[in-house]
Formats: sequence, structure tokens, C-alpha cells
Amino acid sequence: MPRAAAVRPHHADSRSDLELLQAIRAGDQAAFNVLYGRYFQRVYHFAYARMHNAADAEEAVQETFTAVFRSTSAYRGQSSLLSWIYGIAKNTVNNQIRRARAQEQRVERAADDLVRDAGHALETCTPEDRLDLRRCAEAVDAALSSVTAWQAEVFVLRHFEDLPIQEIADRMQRSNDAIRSSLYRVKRLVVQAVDPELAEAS
Amino acid sequence: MAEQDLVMADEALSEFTIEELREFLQGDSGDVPVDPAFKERLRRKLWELVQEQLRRRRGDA
Repeated sequence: MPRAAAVRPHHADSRSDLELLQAIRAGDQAAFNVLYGRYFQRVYHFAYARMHNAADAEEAVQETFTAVFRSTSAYRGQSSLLSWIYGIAKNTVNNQIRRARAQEQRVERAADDLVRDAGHALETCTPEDRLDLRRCAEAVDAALSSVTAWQAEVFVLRHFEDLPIQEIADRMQRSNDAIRSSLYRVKRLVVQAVDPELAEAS
Repeated sequence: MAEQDLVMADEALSEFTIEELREFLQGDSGDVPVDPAFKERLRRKLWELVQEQLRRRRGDA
């Protein structure tokens, strides 16, 4: 790839979107850089304006561009590339917002169950046990609030709904490895919060 | 290509207005801060994806 093409700002390239796409299909990395640069800020801005936080916006941007570059061979030029990419970004963001809402409802239901179960436990335990339980609940709550929405959802699906890894991966549209890695991270945070000595030992 | 991406690509032709597209284009103004490390990481990852697809297509031919 010529060095000058790699550093040239995307707005300085006069090629149309379609020309860039054709060049990308032929393996032209400079064309890929230009098209990516031309749309990155637009997609990011669009996602951020609707999701109001960087982590969710980044996830939507990644999902949008992955769908775009995976399906370039499906693009037939029936609409402009601009409206095609916009359509994918819009669908991605809307789907993500729907998933986040569903996840919030699941977490609320799981929290209700926890409170009910804890209520039963509190009726039979000693004052010391109650203090321990409260500390434990606060620590778990703090740990879960520090992870992203999808990671909290994965934790709830695995540990409150007892779903197998494969089913969670299908639901979340992520790889088994990503699910395992997320579970490990959240579990470690929870253990660290509840029992720092045990976390250190493991 | 994953089936999910095909569905998304088809759905991408769903309805939207010129106003929405105009707003999308205004995202160029750059008033939302972006993590440059994320942008670069994603660029590399996507280019790998493109290359992988090109290799697969050449292999199929």
C-alpha cells in the first residue's frame, strides 16, 4: 500500500463510495481506510446520540461495521451506500436498545427473586448473619454495576436462569469464548467483592 | 456470510426519511469524543475481516 494513501485524510479522496467499495473488493486497503474514515464518525455519532454512553456506542459501531463489511458482497447498489450503511446502523442500534430493555427487565425480575429469597433467609438467621448478608448483597450489587449491560445479562442468564453457554452465546450473538471470558470476569469481580482473600488465592 | 448479517443487510433497505439521513451526515461535525484507540483497533479488526473474506472468495473461485 502506498504510504501517502494510508495517511491521506478520507475527505481528501474524491472517489465515490461505490468506487471505494469496488476497490475494497479488489483488496485495496487504502480504499478501505478511506471508506471507514468517511463513515466512522457518522455511525459513532448516531449511536452515541441514542445510547448516551461510550461503551454501548462502541458496541453498536463495531456491530454495524462488522455487518457492513461482512455483507459487502450482498450490496447490489439498489440504494446508495450511505443509506445502506445508515439502515444497518439504525437496525443495529434499535436492536441493541431492545436487548438492553429486555435485559433490564430480566435483571429486575432476578433482583425481585433475590430479595424474596433473602427475605426468607433473614427470617431464620441471627443478627450477625443478617449483617453479613447485607454486606454481601451490597458488594455483589457494586460489582455488577461496574460491568457493561450485556455482561450483567450474561451473568444473570447463566447463574439465575441456568442456561448453557451455547444458548447464551446464541441469544447474545457472541462466541462461546466471549461468553466464557465475560462470565469469568464478572465472577471474579463478584468473588473479589464478597471474599477478597478467596479471590487472591484463586 | 453469517445469516444474521444477511438479514441486517436486507433490513437496511427499510424505510427512513431524508431528514434522518441528513442527521446521520451531520455526525461528521465531530462534537462527540471518540476513543482513538478504539477507532484504530476496530479498523485493524475490520481490515482482517475483509482480507479473510477476500481469501475465502478467491479460494472458492
